[in-house]
Amino acid sequence: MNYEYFYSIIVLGISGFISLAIGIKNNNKKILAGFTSLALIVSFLLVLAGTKNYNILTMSFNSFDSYWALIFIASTLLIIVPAMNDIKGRYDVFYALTLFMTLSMLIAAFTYNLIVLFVSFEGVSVITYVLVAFNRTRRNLEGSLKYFIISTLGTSFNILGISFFYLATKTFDLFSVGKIFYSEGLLLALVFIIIGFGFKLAIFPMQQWAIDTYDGAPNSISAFLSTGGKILAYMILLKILYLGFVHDYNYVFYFFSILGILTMTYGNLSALSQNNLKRIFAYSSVAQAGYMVLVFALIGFSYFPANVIPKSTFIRFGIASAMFYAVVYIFMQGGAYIAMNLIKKDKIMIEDLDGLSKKSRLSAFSLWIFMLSLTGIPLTGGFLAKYFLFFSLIVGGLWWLAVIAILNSVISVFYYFRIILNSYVSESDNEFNLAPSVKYPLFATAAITIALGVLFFIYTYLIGIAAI
Amino acid sequence: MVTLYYFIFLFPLIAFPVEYVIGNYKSRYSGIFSSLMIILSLITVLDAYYYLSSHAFIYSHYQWFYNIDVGIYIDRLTLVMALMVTSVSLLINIFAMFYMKDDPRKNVYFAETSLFITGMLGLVVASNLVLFFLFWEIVGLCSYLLIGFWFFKPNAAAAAKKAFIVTRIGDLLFMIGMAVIYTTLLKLNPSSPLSIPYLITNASHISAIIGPNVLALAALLLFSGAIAKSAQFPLHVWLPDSMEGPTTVSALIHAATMVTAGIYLVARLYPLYEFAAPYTLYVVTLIGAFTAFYAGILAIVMNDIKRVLAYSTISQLGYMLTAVGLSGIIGYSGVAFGMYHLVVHAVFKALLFMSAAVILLGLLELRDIKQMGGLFKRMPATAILILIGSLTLAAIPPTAGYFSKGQIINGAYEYFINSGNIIPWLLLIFGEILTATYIFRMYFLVFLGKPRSEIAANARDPKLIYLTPLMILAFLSLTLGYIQKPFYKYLYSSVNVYTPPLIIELIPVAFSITGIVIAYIIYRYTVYKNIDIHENILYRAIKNKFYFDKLYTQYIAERVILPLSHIFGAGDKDFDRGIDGFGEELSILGGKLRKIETGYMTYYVVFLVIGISVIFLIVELLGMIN
Repeated sequence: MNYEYFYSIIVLGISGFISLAIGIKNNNKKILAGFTSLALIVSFLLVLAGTKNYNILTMSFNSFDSYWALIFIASTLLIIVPAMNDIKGRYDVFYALTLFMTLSMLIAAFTYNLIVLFVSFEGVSVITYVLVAFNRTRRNLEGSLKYFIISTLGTSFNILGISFFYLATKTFDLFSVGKIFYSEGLLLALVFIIIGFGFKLAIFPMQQWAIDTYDGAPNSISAFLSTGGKILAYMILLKILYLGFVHDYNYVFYFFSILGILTMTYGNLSALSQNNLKRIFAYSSVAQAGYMVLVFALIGFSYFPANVIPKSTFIRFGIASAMFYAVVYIFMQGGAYIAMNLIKKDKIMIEDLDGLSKKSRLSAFSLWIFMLSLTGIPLTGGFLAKYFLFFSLIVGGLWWLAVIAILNSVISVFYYFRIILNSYVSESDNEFNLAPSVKYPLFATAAITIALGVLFFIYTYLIGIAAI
Repeated sequence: MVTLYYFIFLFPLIAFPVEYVIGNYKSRYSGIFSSLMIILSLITVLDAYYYLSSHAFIYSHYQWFYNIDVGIYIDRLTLVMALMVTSVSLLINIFAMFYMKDDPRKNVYFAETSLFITGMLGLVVASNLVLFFLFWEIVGLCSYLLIGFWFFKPNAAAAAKKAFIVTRIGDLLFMIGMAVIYTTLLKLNPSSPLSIPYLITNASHISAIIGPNVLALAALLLFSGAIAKSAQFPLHVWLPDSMEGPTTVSALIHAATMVTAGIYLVARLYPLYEFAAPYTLYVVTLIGAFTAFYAGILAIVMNDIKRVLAYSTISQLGYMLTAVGLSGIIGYSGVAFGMYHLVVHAVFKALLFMSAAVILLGLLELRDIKQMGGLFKRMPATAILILIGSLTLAAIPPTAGYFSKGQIINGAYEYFINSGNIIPWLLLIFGEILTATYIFRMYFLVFLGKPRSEIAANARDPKLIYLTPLMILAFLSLTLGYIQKPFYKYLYSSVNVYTPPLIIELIPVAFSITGIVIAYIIYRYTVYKNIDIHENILYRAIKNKFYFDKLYTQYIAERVILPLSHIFGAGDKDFDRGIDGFGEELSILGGKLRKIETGYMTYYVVFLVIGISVIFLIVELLGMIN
């Protein structure tokens, strides 16, 4: 057996234990953060260098999987340095936990076995329960408790769904279901699995925990939950829906087109009258998930037997746009949460941003970039992500979904631009936390967000590897 | 490594943010980095020159949106243009480090000029009309920023706005032209209908499929963009006003970066014009020749040193455009003549503008030539440099201007022989008299006689070291004529150099000398003092630029556009109110939705169960229908 494909995963595990070992002697956050970043970068490079097109046990190591693995590593890397500001206490434990969490996510990225997917997904969930409550303030604990209880509900849905799947197909492997035909049991499995992972994705009726938890968690953990954690569930659903159910389940289409519209409308409307900044971003992340699940509606639409457009092409477009949206989303949404470290309060209201541009022009500019990108204004990554998404919808014949999504983007302008307005126009003598560990990750993230708005040709590459 | 050549325009682009940031900390050093980046860009262009000696062209592109590719296409025409832009703007940039050294915002100046040069180089190497247009817009934006660089002067702010709005008219027509090409060619070449190499290599095929008249429509719409950018009649009004910016900016706009873009556009897409209906190129010729003549008349009465030069630019651009238009009869020679004059013009116009900048530095930005005089003794070095520039402009024999402009006039004569149409030739040779008259009128008034104001009496030359870029340009203006024939051959192998009968060939020179004599008479007998603006109706008409500015601002803008915009504005207000109301309603709705978020877990679970059930019910029902 060839172990070299697992190096990127093994590195993370070993580094987690080393990080704990460093913590026995001293609890210096700079050393630990540096070490963790290094371990993540090494793992990133190993994934990049890893041999492609290799299947072993239940794992697969092709470009598609590596792409998601890279996204997950980036989503963790994003919060390592900002976490130095808002995490207090045992840094060694904190960084070891993030490393183990990334390890879990990598396994999820490389596997196609439902049991392994489930276990790695739960691995991430359990660690995030701890991370949300890490500072042990009252808000942390409340958020963590709600998160824990609702997630457990989701886990039970998952277990049931996977059991039904096994009963219907006699396998856990997603690759081998292609031969199985339609059955009621499989339909039931589909329903339960979608609900189960939908909890983490925070789509419409399952979104309520997210608002409280993102608000209560430390800023960098909110950043992770709304990016890495969400994208993980998104990727798992993408794999399951694309591979696991290749029959005419047009239910998927109805389900996700309704849910997508409800989710984004709910998120955008609720954010309008909100004044708590972290809650605004929480609603915005709900709305963004609403845009993203439209890809599933597209996949479901392709199951219609009456559909004459060749399925393979527009599904490829759809999956490629999902992949692009995921990477852009991580940086813009994560960046917005990281920017909250600028404010020295626990409960962050929108007025606390007043006068930011006077104190630090570049920080205000970075925040501005994230808002523009979340709205979908050209020359930012968010624009291209939305463009490709709507483009694939229109190519697939779902133009009316694209129109609804665009109308929703228009609504979102109201609250995103309010944030820009507050940070640029209003005069105030607020104090801001402008430590280098707050500022520079912010600038880097903003730079990446802009760069993604220019790297349009990635999409062509993604269409190439979107075959799974 | 073809992708290396992307750095032709990427290098100056790097300088843009760096200059902007550096200047906040080390203001003294601003300008050095951007010059360095232009040098690197120049080296890249030279490397492309060697690459092209063994290859026909450089072409690299990436897929952008759907069927629009972005990338670079470099052939010999591009290369000549890129070489001109980089080298002339390098010299101007070096000179600007001296000229702008006391300006508090000079880092912003260098940042913006870097972006300006990026835009120009980008549009020169662009491989797709959309990308071309993007850079074209960057050029327009930077011209707005730079003309209004001293925005605290109301004139400068107004001039910047004028330049922006007038060129916008051309841009709109350009966009319509692109749309026409895109929609008509989408069936023919679905993968990339706006790619420049595709358009120029398949022009005859395109013409045969879509018909020469449709192609002529598209070509003329694109040409409208060129008219606005290259300040041709009737959209020339912005260029003289643009003199309100720093003089080095004027040098950049006039010599290297902006106005030549329009000529380049026509030369680049020349095959489209060639295979379009024949009247297309005739329109180009007529507009060019008329502008050459018309701007010459206006330049004679101007008393602002920079405005004289501005009108001379408009006139010379007219010559280039005429040359390109002549190609309809005389083949590719016309394009080559036009491009050669473009290069020569860039050199001597940069020289003239930078010399003017030196004079203005000495005279504390006093620009009225009636108040100068006697500067020859006080600023001898500048006087000699500007004399070389003026002689080149007036096309007096050993200078490069004689070779470049003379060949255009010979081409016009050849055009007359072959087509029987004498109008272009007549307009051009009478333009010659005007050219020599206006430039030497300015020269005599500035340099001869006695100082007519206190400031002029105290002017001095700056240190000679600062004039080095000008000397290089002066040397080039004198010697560039000797590469005339190799230049033509390098561009297109099929170029004919015309030698009409001696008497015809001597006419332009004779006319130029006549012009100088007229200028001397005007100066010597102080005719310019005796004409009263209120008496002579012709003089008044010319002085008011034939009322074109008045027509645009007072009649079209104030009497037509403003009322219209008020009418639409009334509707807009209601629309605004509607939007506000919509937003408020949404906020109220959102406030209600937010109430779902109570914070109680039991409530959440109940909501969840009901929500999921309802949604599944709906999905189930829809699924049954299907």
